[in-house]
Amino acid sequence: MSTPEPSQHGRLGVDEAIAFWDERHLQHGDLLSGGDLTYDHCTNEAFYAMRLGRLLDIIGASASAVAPLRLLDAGCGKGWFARALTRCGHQVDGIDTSETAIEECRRSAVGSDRYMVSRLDAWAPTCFYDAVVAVDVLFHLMDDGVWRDSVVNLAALVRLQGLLVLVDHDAEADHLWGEYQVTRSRQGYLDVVQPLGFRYLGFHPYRFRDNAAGFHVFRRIA
Amino acid sequence: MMVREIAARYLGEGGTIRVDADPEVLAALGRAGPVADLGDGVGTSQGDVVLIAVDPLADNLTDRLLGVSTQGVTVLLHLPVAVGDLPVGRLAQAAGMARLAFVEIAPIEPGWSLRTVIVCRPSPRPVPVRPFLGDDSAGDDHEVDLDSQGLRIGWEWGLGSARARAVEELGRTAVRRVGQLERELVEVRGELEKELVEARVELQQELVEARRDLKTAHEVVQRAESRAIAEAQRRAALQQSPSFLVGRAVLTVRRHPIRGLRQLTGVIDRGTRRPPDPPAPA
Repeated sequence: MSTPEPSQHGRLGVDEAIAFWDERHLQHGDLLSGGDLTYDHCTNEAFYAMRLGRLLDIIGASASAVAPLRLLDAGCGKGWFARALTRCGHQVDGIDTSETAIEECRRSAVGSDRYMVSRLDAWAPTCFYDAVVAVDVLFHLMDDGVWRDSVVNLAALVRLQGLLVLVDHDAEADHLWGEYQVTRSRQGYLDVVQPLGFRYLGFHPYRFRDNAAGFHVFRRIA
Repeated sequence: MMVREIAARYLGEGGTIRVDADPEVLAALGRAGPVADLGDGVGTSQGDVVLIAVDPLADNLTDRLLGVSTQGVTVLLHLPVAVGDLPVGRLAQAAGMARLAFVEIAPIEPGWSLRTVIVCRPSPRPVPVRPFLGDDSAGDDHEVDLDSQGLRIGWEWGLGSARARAVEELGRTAVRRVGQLERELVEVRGELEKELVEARVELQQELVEARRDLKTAHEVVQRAESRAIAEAQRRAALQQSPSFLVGRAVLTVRRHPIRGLRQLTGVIDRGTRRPPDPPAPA
């Protein structure tokens, strides 16, 4: 995501944020709506590809047609990552609050990928996931309570030895970047996730130009 | 995941991959590490990987697992079945009796050959389990709290197996419903076919009757035509007869005497004229 200037108007409310992203998915194309608005189309293409590569590095390059990994793309937007992971042989569920984006996802589905409209703190499937990923989503949850509930809920969906992959900055403190972006500290994630039975495997930065975001990776061990 | 990747993952320092499997499995090991035949008489040692081909339906399954269950080694069971077809009861029972603890399960690439490797370790207690299709970044096993892992496994197994049963029951219900609908469809189709046959017979009977009526009508028409033709011939013959011609001339005399007499004379002349003599023979 882009790094907007600090806003004088505070943070978007929960419903405002949902409406904001639905409108953004309506107004912008496949890459820009969920990519970085400060990059052009080609750079966003590279940005997506780079993030996918890093993500595959984390969740592993093995796949099985007869027993695929079950993945959750939480806040999937228009489903670029979900489709790519499906093509890699995984069974992917994608959730997002934007009906516009989910409709587009369903139109563009490439196989067993499924898409549902849901908030991150409300998704309650009947199965565990081998990996839950939230790419460039959590720092758009402006309400700290919703952010915490979302992280806790996503962690609850990970099976034993499964991965929880959450994108944010690797910072020492929370930082408000504007009315629709706030990054949380590394310790903030550790404080929420580790007591839930996870081990922190580390931070994997995007290393894409000046983007400071990356993957906080946790593995459930209990 | 490939056989050589799994073997290399569990091969300890200075260890050897000891194999009791067919040449195809042996070839799949590639450069995973030093390989030796399990039956070469040399015992296993710490850090070894024991890779054996296992028929999960074989009678000697438990004995086979007992034979490789020695402390310090990692046992890889190579099974010629897909994950979805594993006979879980037989495997769990045999592995439990051989005191083998579950570590990991992996479908083997390429997927079309439908093979599975189960990784286990000789241990009377649970050991850290490894991620499904995971890589080598799972972290240090020593950090795993086995009691917490056991609790978690219990929950996942309890909830997951209950849900799996419910899902299977839903599937069976759906199959039963489909079966019921198919039976109803067969019945309806049978009734329709019966009605169709009856209608066809009825139609054929009506067709036979219609053909018979048509034939009768045709014969009537033919007889009428014959009668009409005969009648026309009789009328033509009558109109050419001398008495008819005389009568018609007499009627003409009454209306037009001169023309009638001329006709009457002509008729009488034609009636009395002798036909010419036939030519004399030469």
